[in-house]
Amino acid sequence: MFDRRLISNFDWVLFGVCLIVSILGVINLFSAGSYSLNHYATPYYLKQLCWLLVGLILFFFIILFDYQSVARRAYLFHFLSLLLLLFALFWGKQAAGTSRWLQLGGLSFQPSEFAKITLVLFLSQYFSSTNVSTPYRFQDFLLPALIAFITFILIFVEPDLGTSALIVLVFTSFVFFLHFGFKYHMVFIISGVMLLPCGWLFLEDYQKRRIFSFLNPGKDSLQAGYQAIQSKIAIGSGMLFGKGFLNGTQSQLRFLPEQHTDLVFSVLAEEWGFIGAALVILFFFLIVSKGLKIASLSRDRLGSYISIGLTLILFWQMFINIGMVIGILPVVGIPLPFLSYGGSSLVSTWMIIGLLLNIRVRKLMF
Amino acid sequence: MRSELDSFYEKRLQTRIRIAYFIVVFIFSLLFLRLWYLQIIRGDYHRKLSENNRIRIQKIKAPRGLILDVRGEVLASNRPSFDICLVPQDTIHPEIVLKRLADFLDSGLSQLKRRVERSKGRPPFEPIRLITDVSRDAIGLVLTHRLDLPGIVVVSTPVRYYPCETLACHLLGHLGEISPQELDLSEFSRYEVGDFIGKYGVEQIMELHFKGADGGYQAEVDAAGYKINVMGRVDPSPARNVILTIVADLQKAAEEALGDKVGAVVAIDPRNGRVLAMVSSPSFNPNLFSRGIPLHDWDTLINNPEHPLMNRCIQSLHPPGSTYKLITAAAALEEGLITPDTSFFCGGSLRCGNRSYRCWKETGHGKVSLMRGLAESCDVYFYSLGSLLGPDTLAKHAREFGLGVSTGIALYNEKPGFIPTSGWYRSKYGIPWQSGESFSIAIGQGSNQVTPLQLVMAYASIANGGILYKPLCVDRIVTIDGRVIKRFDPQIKARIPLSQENIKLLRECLWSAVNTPSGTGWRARLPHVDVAGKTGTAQVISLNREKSSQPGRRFLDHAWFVSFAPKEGARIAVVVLVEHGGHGGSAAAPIAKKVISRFFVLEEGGHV
Repeated sequence: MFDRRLISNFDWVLFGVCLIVSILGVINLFSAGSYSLNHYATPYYLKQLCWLLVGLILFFFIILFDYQSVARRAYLFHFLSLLLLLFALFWGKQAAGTSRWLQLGGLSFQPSEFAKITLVLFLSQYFSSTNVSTPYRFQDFLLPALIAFITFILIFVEPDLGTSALIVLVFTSFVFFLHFGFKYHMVFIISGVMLLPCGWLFLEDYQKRRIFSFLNPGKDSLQAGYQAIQSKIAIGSGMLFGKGFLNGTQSQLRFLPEQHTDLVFSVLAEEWGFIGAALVILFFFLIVSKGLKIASLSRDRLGSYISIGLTLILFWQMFINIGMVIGILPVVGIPLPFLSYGGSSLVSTWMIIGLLLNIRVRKLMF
Repeated sequence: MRSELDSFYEKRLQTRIRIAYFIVVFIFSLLFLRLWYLQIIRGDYHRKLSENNRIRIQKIKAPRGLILDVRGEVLASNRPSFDICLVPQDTIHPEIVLKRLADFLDSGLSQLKRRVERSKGRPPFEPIRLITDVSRDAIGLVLTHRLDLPGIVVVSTPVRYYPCETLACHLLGHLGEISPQELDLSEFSRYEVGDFIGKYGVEQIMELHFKGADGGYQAEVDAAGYKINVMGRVDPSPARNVILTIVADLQKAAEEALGDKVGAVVAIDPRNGRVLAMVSSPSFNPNLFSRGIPLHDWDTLINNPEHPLMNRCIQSLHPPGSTYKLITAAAALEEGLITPDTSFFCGGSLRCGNRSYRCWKETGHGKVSLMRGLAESCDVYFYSLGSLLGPDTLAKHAREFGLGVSTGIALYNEKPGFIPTSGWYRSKYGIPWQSGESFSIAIGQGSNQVTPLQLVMAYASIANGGILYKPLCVDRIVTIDGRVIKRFDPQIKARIPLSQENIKLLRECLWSAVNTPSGTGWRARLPHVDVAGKTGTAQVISLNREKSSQPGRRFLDHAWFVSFAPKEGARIAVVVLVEHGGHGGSAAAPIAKKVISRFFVLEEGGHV
């Protein structure tokens, strides 16, 4: 079964960039978590390092199986994901009023991090198995929309606004790559725009407040507004070269809330300056463009769809998170791939990279 | 492999990927440009903001919820404490500043230094408390010299305050600093090191309701750490208030009536089990605990032989003495062993085996039936009932009255008490039950142990026609604007399996104990109210008293009096325990009388 193409087609640049960013993330967490009051707990960076190893193992494991055989089981996988989400909702570990976590032995993980991957696998399998000699009709759209909606609702009620918003964004942007008629795309856009205000009704108060405070940061200067202001100060004060590793005053003095999870990029930008932050953004861009490249090189439609969907996940997460910390988007809790502390996030990111390279190594040979 | 049919679509897909690529390039350049703007163009500005940490967020502690009596009198509130603090961030030479501060205020420099030392590892913009509760003069002094004292600020924090000092201290409880173990518990996830939490009484059981959400402000400060511009402020959201069932005026009356005697008074409403007053003496001042109790105060409390921190109402265990005769009588009636007219002869003592058990009245009561037996507390009459009943039947009925088990009041560390049985006796002494013991337990001596609260609940069940309530000390929890979060409704624990006829009869007996001149509770009678009650005298050292060479207070008997009023449709039940007080009739009954008469005065004034 082992094919020499697995090695010759392996995209070392993509792998290398991801590895570098992951290691940067661990180093950055060493700094972001260094002021922890709890001296007995394992430090964040060590835990993250362990998760990185887990992620890498899964990464290589995933490459071994042809993505076509993986996708054949996509319905099953996504069904299991939805089950896990239900489990988390009813029997999950409660943390800060949310039930996002499932406990497995001593480890806890967020099923939503894996549901987003299986959703992409499901959508890709569904749309690539139909005949596309003619454009899709509306009925082809109903089942996947329903499944995506269920996934969205299960994550939304946890409540996890960030990840559920991500599901919506990934799904809608994914649809635009599909072979629908122009007419349909217009209908999608119009109905999407009309649905947006309805979504507002379902938001919790604090979520609405965050969006308000984005529009007017002075108003809510303790919670979301405070985060936004302090993270802007942290990033801006990094200037060109940064304050140096472990010297970020904003982060070391704990002005930044959530500095090891959602606001981790501002710690990096403060300590490593514009050079460091821009480099990370460049790396991110490289990863996304590599993902799109893999989509266009894929040997079949299934591969294209999977790589488009997964790349969209990475892209939206990067954009929303960084957009939030630099103050161009409202504060929405969503982890930054590779950099944010969190086992589920890091492992699922590496699984995405694994699937992308899986498609890459089996690309169309000319 | 891609089929030929796909080729048309294939082209479109490639086009869309190319479009997506351009969008991605666009968005990433947007991020890039924004970063450029923040870090390069506005970099200097942000660097300055961060260097001075000009903008900081400071907590405003939410004041703790209040405790009120049933009529709204404040029993626990908060007072502001002005503390002198150091913000390490704002001073370059803390040593010099501390030295100057010590000179201005004449306080020990080494102590100030120790406080700073202890706070190492905290974020430097968080104020370190140097001196708490400073006077107005000291504040003035610090503020006038603020230019010489960079980094020194005066911070006001709410501190728990009990305006009535020791009033109802055992019920209210006190605070203490949260321990590291408690911080690990999930229910305390909103707490942080240095927070004060309830450690005793209602403060402890209602802790989570008392805690509000801290607020804060975001302010721009000058170089010395003084606010120059408040940019935003979120007021702390207040906690909930807890309204107790007790009536502060009655509580005061009960505390005054008990005075400095060691003992307990509990008054309840027999119609629902609500506690109207709960006194345990000696008391302590809960204000001492509000900022951490000073060591010498703690030592004084702990080394006091009378244990002021103990809530005698629910924690002291003593034999109930003759107050138990009500239970014995009820048991004998219900078992059908006696009728109201069954009488026994009291010649001053009753023999059992080769021992003679004396009645308290050495000359004897003569022919005694139930009414006189209870009213005059004839021991011989109840010795006879005891031997008829036997320990296990009596214990069964005692349990039905709620004795030997916790009442279930919502306070920690309530003692369940103890009611002996023959099985227990055998396993403890290795010999079968001695018939003489039946005599002792029938008059409430021996191994019986009850708390004052248990006793008053048992009597209340006679007063209200046979319902054993769970005592309530908290009426409701309300928000700051009075919206009820939770109301505690009366809870029926059990119904006493006693016929209404017998209950009525027992009430008459208890009435005559107070209202006939030969009754032992004569001293508790009131002119306009029918008080019913029973005295009790619990022997402290039953046999050795005569031998004891020390006739000190510690060898005096404990005095009990349990009562309710009025006889029919009772609205108050009161128990009084005076430890080493002597006779129940002389030491305890007058106290109960004062509480009851005060209650009816308050009731007339519409205050209850």
